[in-house]
Amino acid sequence: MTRRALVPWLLIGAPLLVFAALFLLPLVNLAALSFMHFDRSTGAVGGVSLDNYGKFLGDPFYLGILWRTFKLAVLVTVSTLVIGYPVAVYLSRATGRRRAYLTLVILAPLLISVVVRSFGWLVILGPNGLVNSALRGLGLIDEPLRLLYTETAIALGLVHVFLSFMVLSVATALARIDPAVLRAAASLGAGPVRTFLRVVLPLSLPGVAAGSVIVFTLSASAFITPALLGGPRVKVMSYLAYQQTMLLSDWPYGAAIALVLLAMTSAGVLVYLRLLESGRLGVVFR
Amino acid sequence: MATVELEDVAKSYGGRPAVMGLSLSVASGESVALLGPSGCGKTTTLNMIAGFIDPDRGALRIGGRSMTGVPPYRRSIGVVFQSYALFPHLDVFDNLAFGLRMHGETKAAIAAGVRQGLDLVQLAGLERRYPRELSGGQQQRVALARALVWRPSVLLLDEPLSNLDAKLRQEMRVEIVELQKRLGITMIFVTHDQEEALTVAARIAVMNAGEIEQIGAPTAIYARPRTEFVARFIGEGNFLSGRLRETAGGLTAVESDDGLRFFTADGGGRPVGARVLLMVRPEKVQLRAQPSGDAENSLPVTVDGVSFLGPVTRYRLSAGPTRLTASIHDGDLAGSAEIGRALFAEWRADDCLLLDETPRDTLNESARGVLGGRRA
Repeated sequence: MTRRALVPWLLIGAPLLVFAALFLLPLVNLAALSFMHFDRSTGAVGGVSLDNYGKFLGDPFYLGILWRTFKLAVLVTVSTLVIGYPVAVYLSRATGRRRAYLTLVILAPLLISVVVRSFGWLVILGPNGLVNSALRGLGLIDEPLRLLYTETAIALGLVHVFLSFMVLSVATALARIDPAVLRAAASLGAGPVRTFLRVVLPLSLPGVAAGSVIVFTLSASAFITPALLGGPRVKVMSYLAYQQTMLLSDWPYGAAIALVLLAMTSAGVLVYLRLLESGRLGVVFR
Repeated sequence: MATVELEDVAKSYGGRPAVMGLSLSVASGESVALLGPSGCGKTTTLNMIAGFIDPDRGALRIGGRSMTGVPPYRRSIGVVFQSYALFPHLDVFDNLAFGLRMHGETKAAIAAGVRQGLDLVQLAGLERRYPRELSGGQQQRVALARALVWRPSVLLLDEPLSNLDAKLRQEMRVEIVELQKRLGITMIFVTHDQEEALTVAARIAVMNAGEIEQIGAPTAIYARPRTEFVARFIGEGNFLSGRLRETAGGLTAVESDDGLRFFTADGGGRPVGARVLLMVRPEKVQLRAQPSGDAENSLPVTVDGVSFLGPVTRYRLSAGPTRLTASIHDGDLAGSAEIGRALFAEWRADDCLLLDETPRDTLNESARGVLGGRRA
């Protein structure tokens, strides 16, 4: 190899090492752990078996938690898309100072600690919280609604944070559309609605795809928000893995749960992207 | 097809005027070029005709109908953009079909229209290609066909050839002219390339600082530029500034700032002593070994430089501080004029125009570039 060919490797060498040491290695370790057997008196013991996976996949209780996690991630992704798209359109058209302020507002939820943000939702959704007191004050309900520790509460909390990711990726894709293309559509007889449906929307798909992948994976693997807003009552995969590992000390089973979650998110992302790219508008991804 | 009329149309951006009280009338089926340096307001004018920008004041009529408040998608105008602006997510067929679909054509009519459009620009067989899979010239053709297939009554082109290489550009010029004639569509063409304007348009509007300086047939504008700006922008010229000395027998004598005396048949009713600018085109200057006696202007010059350009040879000449350029058809001199040689430069008074100097202070940078920084 010539010296010149070495340069890129030197440059990415450090991040590559960090990535290998702090991510790949633990992942391999986790995978190995998931095949071990757990004994209450001795802890994790060796031997390769699929028992942990069998236990998970054979039990409707655990499969139900997997399904809920998937459902929540999809719900959050779709919600951020529906709420975020108009904001992204507005952001992509703003210029100068207005654009800077708008970006700041969109990023604001990320500036607050996830714990603090979730406690905020606790206050709002609690039995004596903002929503319930308001509804009771208006005389619409007698008993407080159970808003906390529901899937809706988790979804609300997640949408709140991950909206920024969706808005920013869609806005980036929208900003890349040549304004002349929109004028061309208008000159050919397309009004604002048809221009949006036939030109803007298809051309923004790469941003939609990127935003969806980010929001979906982050939602599926989120821990603190579901733990605080869903609690043990409405468990998701990350909480289940935490419970098995930290509370019950069943490290091998916790590892298996983590890997099932990883497999689910990876499969979800792959199928989603494959669907988009093989579709009629796949050309926008090339 | 339709007429296009602009009446005292103006537009400014944040207080800076881009178009100032422009009036222009384009007949049905006519092709007009808006020609000028960048920033002269020609693209703004085009965008106002298309409806992409609203004028601050003035009236715009297409086919006799006022366009005030009419959005672009109800104007029946086809637009070819400088960047082509093809739909990247649609193949050639769907790009061409877009206008037809938007105007509610039937499936059969769309298929037939697209086929016609492809034949029009000789792209049959490329229906299923995407814009990114086409060469620049092919994209250009798709853009042209897309703007035409749904039969708009006016075709607007915004610097459509500036992204093509020289040879392709010449081919496309010819194609556009033929298409325009064949379809009989009203065409307005924006360009900064004088050659493009001269070859494509039946009439040229030379624009400068948001106004039309002169409008007319290409030959008329070339032969009779009305202002210094137009003279310098279209073609090349020898410019000599001086003062008008006397007018007698249909000839006007001008004394140049370098103390030389020239004669022109172009009096223009200016008083004696007025500051004027003489212009003679390089191809009107003849080079002789001896004064021939049949040209009113004749002066001894030295050859400073010779550039062979194929059909013509360009000579850089000097007579004291006065510099001249002559373009001579190859063969006329038979290679007898080499550097350092003393000859006579001659031209007829009929070929010498009198112009007023265009004041420099009102112009933007690119317009000043056209005029040269000699007299700021």
